[in-house]
Amino acid sequence: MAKQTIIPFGPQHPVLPEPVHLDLVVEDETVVQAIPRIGFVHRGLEKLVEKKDYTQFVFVTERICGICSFGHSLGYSQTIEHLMGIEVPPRAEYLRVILHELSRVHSHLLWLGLGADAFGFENLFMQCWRIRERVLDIFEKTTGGRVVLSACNVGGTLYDIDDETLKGICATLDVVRREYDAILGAFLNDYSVRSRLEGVGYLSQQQARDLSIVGPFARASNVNNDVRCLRQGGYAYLESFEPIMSDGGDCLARVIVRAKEVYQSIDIIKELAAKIPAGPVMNAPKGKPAAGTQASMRLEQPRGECYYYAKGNGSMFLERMRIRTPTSQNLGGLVVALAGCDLADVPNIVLTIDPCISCTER
Amino acid sequence: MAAYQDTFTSIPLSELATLAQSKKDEGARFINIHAATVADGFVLTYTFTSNETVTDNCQVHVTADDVVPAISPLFLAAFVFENEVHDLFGINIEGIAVDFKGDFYQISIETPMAVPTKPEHATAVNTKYGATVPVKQRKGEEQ
Repeated sequence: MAKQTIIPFGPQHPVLPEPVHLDLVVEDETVVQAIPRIGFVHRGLEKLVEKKDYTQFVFVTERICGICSFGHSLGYSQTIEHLMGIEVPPRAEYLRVILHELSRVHSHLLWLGLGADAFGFENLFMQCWRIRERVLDIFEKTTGGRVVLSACNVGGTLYDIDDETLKGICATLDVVRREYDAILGAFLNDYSVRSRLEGVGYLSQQQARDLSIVGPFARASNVNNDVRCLRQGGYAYLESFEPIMSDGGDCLARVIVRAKEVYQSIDIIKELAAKIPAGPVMNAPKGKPAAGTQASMRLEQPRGECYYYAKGNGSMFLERMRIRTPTSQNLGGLVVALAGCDLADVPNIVLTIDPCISCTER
Repeated sequence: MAAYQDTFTSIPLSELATLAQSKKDEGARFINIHAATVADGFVLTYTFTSNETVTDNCQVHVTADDVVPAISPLFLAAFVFENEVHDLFGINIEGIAVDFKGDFYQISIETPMAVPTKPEHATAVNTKYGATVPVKQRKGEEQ
């Protein structure tokens, strides 16, 4: 038996934008075990629910993460609406999905760029991020910043996006699609990309089920737990929705699922923008969450299913707010995917779960 | 797919291991574990889904002295949350699949999420940790 060595990976590492630590137990060049560790930047945001009332806390949730900021405010708002029985105006539901899917496009383009950088394709990284800038420009124009903040609140959205601007968004997305078409071939067909990703970090469908993994990580192993299939909120207005699936189970399959989801999100946005109804965008909440009431909600974030839980206590403050993010759910799957891989493949495997440590360390 | 539903059920601690095994046997997907501080201890919420439509929240009341069996040997994804409730709330969980023994989070004070901010919480938590934290009345909260 070869001698076992422990190699520390992270919390600072060139492929890691955020701090996560792995103890890699290796025999020669093969990883036999990986032990993850987080907690370097834990902020205790869930505890803040005791200091911020339920309408203020939405601004805390959107600061959990810079990439899925809108998603967190949406998930939190939906949970409180479910808790208090608040009906959201249809136009707001449309706008929420449009902004959420725009966030998914920008998150996936960001991730595809980071993935390209990890497997040494720097030009592809720059192209992905160049295209992503167009989505960030849309955010800047419609919500006032490159990170979507203060757009969603309990009861609807805080402001409207007029129909002319929505047409402009669709036109910009046509440009995004054209530019994305030009680079997608490199992800799907390039020999060097395939050689780095094909067969690497394999998880079978059964393993994915047993490990309860979520998001594109699960869908790449042919496990469908895409919460959008439940057609909650604005997703109910779509003609149809079919999740993007793959049975590859490896790093390449995870890239393909995310790459195709960019097109899917563009289609969703264009469909909803074409038929968005006129009307108000906010049904302001009245009253307080009743004592002892509790509600849970799930939302498909770009990285996978996010779980929200809220409990009222009869005051403006919630008794407890819980946000379980996709990365914390996928850490178990990461550990299994890393076992048996080559040391050189560790960065790619870690990146293909699209880890977001600031979400995990909320 | 049918419309989303969430359910909440309470079970005694003694039935937790049986519940986890039955969820495993029926092929349910594990979603989450979290703890909440209550006047006389904690409530642990275990969340599963069997059909992706119903979010099934099973709640277990525990005290600071109870030993809670880990479900991570059955659902590996749960090890993150079991370490979390141990480190942040101080709940004793036995048999965690990957047990960091209190070293999962780099925390500056012991069990930060269990630090009482309400009078009714203070009794239960202070009994165990002997801490006294001043409790302030918050804006908007009724007396």
